[in-house]
Amino acid sequence: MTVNGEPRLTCATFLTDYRPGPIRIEPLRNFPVIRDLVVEIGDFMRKLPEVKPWLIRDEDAAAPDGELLQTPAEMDDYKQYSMCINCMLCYSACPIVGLEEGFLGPAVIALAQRYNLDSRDQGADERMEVLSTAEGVWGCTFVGECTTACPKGVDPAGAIQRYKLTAATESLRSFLLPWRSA
Amino acid sequence: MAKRRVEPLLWLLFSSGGLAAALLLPVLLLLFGLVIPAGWVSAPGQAHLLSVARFPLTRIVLLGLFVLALFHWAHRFRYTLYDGLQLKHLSTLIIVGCYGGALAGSVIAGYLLLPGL
Amino acid sequence: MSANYTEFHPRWYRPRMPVFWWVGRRSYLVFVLRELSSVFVAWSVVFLLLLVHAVSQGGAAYQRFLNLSSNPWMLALNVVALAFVVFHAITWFNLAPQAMVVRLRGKRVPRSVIASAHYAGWALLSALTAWLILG
Repeated sequence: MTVNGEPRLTCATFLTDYRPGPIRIEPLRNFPVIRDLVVEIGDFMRKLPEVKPWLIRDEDAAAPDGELLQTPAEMDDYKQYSMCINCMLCYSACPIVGLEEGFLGPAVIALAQRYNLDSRDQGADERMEVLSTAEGVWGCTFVGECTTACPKGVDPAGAIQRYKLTAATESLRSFLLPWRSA
Repeated sequence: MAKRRVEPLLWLLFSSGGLAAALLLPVLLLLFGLVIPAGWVSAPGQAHLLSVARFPLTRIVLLGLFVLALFHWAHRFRYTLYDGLQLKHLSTLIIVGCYGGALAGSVIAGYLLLPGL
Repeated sequence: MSANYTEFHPRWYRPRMPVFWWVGRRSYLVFVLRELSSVFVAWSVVFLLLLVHAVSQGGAAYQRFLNLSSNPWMLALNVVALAFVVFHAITWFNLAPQAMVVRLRGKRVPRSVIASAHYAGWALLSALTAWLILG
């Protein structure tokens, strides 16, 4: 919810920290309000599957023998982005989410990065179709409020900027060397 | 679609322009916009500046700086108008104005720096 | 679940974002000021192009440029422009580490190091440029 104008996890926000008050509690901003403090989060729930936030493997390849192994260093590459709890405080903080109805938003892009950077994943190309669009990363102007609001230190703003560089490099490569396959 | 391929490249221009502007514009503006006009430092001679400007490396660096900085402005200002003033319905006009302006400025810079010196 | 129905439910409260959404909150205002610094970046380019043109046209033209730049209004504009251009540089260097992950021998280079490297490069280039100009 929004506490004194800030997006907060009210389950982890203590009244004593706001003494002597007054304290103002509003529904989470940037979401339609059904009633009182209840908001409708369907928009986020529809956008999340668009980036395919699951491990994508090459279906033609042989099934792996045992589990897919990963070193601690490989896990560190994406671990930060796996900390997202889908609380949507970042959506509340992001002005672009309020302005652009189709914008995927910070958490969705950070979660896409969680899988893009996972060494076991092979779906980065598929996700690029959705991410390298005006509704994807290019709508973001790096306000940075999402990272400030995040209670889990996911740094979605950083995830998005990193992806912009990835996508732009890929675009440049395909523009300068179109004959090279991805 | 062509639009999908152009946006990332415009962002690359914005990004490199931002870095170039950040690194070089402050000192140049400090000198020629404040320190020299205010008289805190005596103005360098025209002949000296001309010889510095004519140096091939200077021409390339200045041209790169001007072109990239202008496209940095174009991209950033476009989004400022979209988000800050909610003028997205005028996007065609804004795109033409911003990138067209940057292109015009780049052409002028090219003319001044390459043959013009 | 009938997703399309829920999206257009007529009884929900959906406030429109005001045009000046960025005025009321400090972080948003700072963001918009940062974005507006690009206007002064463009102005700097215009001003420097005027300088280049004046230098290329000879001593009299250069003197006219110097007179123009010492005009009080021009001076005031350039002081404001300088403030914004420096603001652009500082925000750029402070945000750069967030946007880039650099790995050296397997370990991630800390943000402060990336930022410091930018500032050091800035100081070096500024010193070199000043030396070249002032001779």
